[in-house]
Amino acid sequence: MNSVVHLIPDTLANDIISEPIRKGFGRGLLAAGKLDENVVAACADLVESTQISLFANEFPERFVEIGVAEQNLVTVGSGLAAMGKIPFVSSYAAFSPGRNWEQIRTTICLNNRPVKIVGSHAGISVGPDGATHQMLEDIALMRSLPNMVVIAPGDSVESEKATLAMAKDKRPNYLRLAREASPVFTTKDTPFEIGRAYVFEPGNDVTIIATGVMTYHALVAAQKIFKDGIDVEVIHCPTIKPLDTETILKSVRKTGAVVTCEEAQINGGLGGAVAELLGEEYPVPLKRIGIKDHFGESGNAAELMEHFGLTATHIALAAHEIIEKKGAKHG
Amino acid sequence: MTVICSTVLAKEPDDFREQMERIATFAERIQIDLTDGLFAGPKSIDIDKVWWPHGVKADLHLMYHRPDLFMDKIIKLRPHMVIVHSEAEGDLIKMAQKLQSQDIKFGLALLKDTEPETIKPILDNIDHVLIFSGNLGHFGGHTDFSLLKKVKRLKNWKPELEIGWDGGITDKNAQKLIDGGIDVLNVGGFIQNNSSPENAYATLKTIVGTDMKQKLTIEELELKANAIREDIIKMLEAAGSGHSAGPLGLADIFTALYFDVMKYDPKRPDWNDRDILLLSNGHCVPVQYATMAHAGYFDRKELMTLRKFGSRLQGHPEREKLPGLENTSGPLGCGLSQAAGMALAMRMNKDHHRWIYVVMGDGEQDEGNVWEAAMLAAKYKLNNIIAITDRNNIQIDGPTETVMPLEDLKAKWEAFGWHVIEIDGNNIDAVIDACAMGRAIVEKPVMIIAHTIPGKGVDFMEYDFHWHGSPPNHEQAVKALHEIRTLQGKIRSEHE
Repeated sequence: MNSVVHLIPDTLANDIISEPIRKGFGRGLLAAGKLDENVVAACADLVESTQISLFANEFPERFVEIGVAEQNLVTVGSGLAAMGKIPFVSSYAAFSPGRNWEQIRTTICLNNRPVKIVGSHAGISVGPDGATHQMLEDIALMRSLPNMVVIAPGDSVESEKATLAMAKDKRPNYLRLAREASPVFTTKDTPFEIGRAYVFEPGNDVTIIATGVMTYHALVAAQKIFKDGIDVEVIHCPTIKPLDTETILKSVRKTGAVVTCEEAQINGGLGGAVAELLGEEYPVPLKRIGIKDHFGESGNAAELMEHFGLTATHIALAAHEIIEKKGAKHG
Repeated sequence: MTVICSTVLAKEPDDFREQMERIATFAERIQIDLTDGLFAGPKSIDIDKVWWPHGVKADLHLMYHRPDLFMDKIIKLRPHMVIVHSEAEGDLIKMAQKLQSQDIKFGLALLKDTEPETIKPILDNIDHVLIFSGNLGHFGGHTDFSLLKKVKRLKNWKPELEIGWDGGITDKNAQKLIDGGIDVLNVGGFIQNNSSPENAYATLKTIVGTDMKQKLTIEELELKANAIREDIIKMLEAAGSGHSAGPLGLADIFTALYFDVMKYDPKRPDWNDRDILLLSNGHCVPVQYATMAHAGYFDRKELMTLRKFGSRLQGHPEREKLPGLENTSGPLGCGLSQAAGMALAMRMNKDHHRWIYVVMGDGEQDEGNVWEAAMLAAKYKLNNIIAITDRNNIQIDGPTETVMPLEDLKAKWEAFGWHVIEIDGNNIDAVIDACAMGRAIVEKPVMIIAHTIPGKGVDFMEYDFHWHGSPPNHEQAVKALHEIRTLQGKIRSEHE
């Protein structure tokens, strides 16, 4: 399978390179800006940390500094798009789309303007900043909006591809980025298309569907439990909406058990989306890894991932559990 | 909207001056034809002798064998556009890029026998195509309607392409050319050889359509506003829900905007050069629907579908439902931000000829989003934004100064870096004047605080905040319509 999805040769290597996902966005936006002069950008006083700086430095006349005003950020985006621009508007996810959901709903989604909302520092791994800044509800917020596309890339290489794809997409998009450096496990040849999920690891016993940085942890978990004689299929699902129902259902019909993984609230998140799909189309035992109706707290990223049950070990345990449940159901 | 472009073609500087003076008083856009005696003869005046009056958009039509050799001279002249012949020598794309980098548009002319396919590969590089049906180097020529087939093909490939026509245009054939998709009528002999060039131009203008018509008099505008008020009452009664006071109070402002101030074409709502109107307080949309119907966007009968299932006239405006709306609004406080985004994009696009008008409520200014936008527009000196606050002093829960005091509103906007004009918003003349003044302010965005009477025109609704969010029932509508019709007579007698 690796020959098809072109991951790095050894995803378990100790010396795997790590890089923050947002860096890939910065590079992708600069490249998109060079390809299309209609690509423009705006930011709410977080130019460096959202990595929109690369674009802003190269194209100052196509960049708008909005100041700490997230409602204005996305609504100005709507106006830019109305005049044929492809605006990327960035802030921390806690503020955009955290604060400005109604403006996104009315002036971007209902108004149907191709604004690209980039929420950086999403997830629990933001760490020391604490619960206010650990945005966990953004997937649910954006998933509930008609016309909106929701993307959470797995690593910096994929976020670069996602950004380039967004610049060509005619719909409103939300791009979810994490702050911390995370392993780079895809390559320039790994396929990416908006709306597609990919089988990164084929298997028969259980399907693990993961999004964002959790896909790496899912791959690690899969290798762990392979040693226990369990054959896991890992699906990487960078587009949470629209969900690639075909790829997911095809896998689930084969394995009959599912674990979802995300660094976000499972209510309304990827876990919610998969539960909705399976509930209607193909009910099977399901376990959702993610934040379960809590807020986060300060700590370093590794501590918090451990505390909230988001590590490869937790995923492996969940896979065991769900297989037992499947056995009980069929037995 | 079709544009009339008066052409000048002269062999001698004196003749050039005479022709220019003949049209200078009325022409908004002119085309100067230049020939080299080689590509087309006889030779016209040299490019060094070319000039035009200040404030006029001038296009240069070069009937030159080697137009590329003149580019530096042309750039110094700062024309609006340069048209060269697709049949000429030289690298067309290079010429296009050179001019466009200087904010000068680039057009290509096609002789009768040149097929549009020859320029299809470079359509992305050009702003204009001139269909040439004339005599090279002379006024007049035969208007060959079969050439309109070219227009259809070109628009198929690039719908937003501006297409001009040169050759034999008169009041008799102008309509047919407009119907065939021509955007710019280059008129030479019909204007220049007429005993009254201005009358000839006016005749063509009336053919061209809505906003080129003679401007309405103040009496006519007041009657128009009154008719719009009648429609608002009828719509709201039929809908059985909706807002009465705001739309009635805004009728004069909307009449001024649609029937005097703004540049638009109801037949081409997405016309690239149109002015933009954003209604930020979407609940007042009945006045916009009624005004748009009067302006020719759709039939007035459709007004009675307001708020009904399947209607394009949603309770709050939804852009994708009705061509001519520029935004979706209802949740308050967003119009100014959208205007700022549009103005920034226009600046990036080097599109300097358009205005963005934003109509907003006063109660709406409780929203923080408004002031975020206010700061941004001032920071970037977005001087093509003209905002109009409907200062009617009411909101749903009562008088604005009780619910959440806004005063000193003028001082607030000034402190935020805006140029503020305060007017009587029920005086159409004052609205038109304020907009004109607003367009002349170059260093700041402009806020017109328009004091209006909520429910204006219907005595029992005026000043009463209870009518903010309610429609009239049948009995009230009959009474309201009676009052508005009485006003009609009053307007007429006042202007006698």
